[in-house]
Amino acid sequence: MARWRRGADVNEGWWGVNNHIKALRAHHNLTQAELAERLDVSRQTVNALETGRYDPSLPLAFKLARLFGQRIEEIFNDDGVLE
Amino acid sequence: MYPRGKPALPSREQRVLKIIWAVIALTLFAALVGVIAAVIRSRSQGSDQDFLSGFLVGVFGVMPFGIALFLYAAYRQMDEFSQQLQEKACTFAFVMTMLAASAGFVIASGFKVALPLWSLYLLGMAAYAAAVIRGSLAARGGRE
Repeated sequence: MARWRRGADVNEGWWGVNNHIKALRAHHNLTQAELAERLDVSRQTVNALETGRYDPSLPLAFKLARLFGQRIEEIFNDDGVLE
Repeated sequence: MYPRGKPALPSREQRVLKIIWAVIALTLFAALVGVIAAVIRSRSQGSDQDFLSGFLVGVFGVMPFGIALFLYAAYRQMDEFSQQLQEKACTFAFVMTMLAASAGFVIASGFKVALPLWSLYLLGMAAYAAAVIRGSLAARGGRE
């Protein structure tokens, strides 16, 4: 299991959706601005995603997944909110 | 794997910024046209000046629609998070303006005073600006 999947690297959002974007970005040696450029969003958006203040749309989530070579559910985890 | 360097196309933020600058320029131009129209109107004596004054007032009246179109273009260029910020700010400004208008109706009819329309405009724009600034500051975070 990769280092970025564990503990303190997980950011919890307002609605209980966690993500590993910050850890993945660090793992790929990207700055927030570089990640923003690749996703065609602003740096503020990347910051809001990393701190869990904003949950992305499905197209943006797919973009992130493709960029990092992960599946969406490996990057985002809702801890079974609907169960 | 991740080539670095300057992107070929201007980034989304740069595109939005370009439109915002156009909006600012258009707004300043509209204000200038308004001032010139007002000055000509105050000094108007001949029919030529009356025509020019009327023409400029007409241009001034149409310009807000141009500014609104530019703002819509800027909104379309924003990413989804910035669009959400704008939507929240507009919603907040709308609610504040409606509350102020409701209170204004009560005060105007109850106390027989005339409230200027520009006060509603000012309040709406102030609420919108406050919401945008608050949202932007919260999203800025530390640069990493």
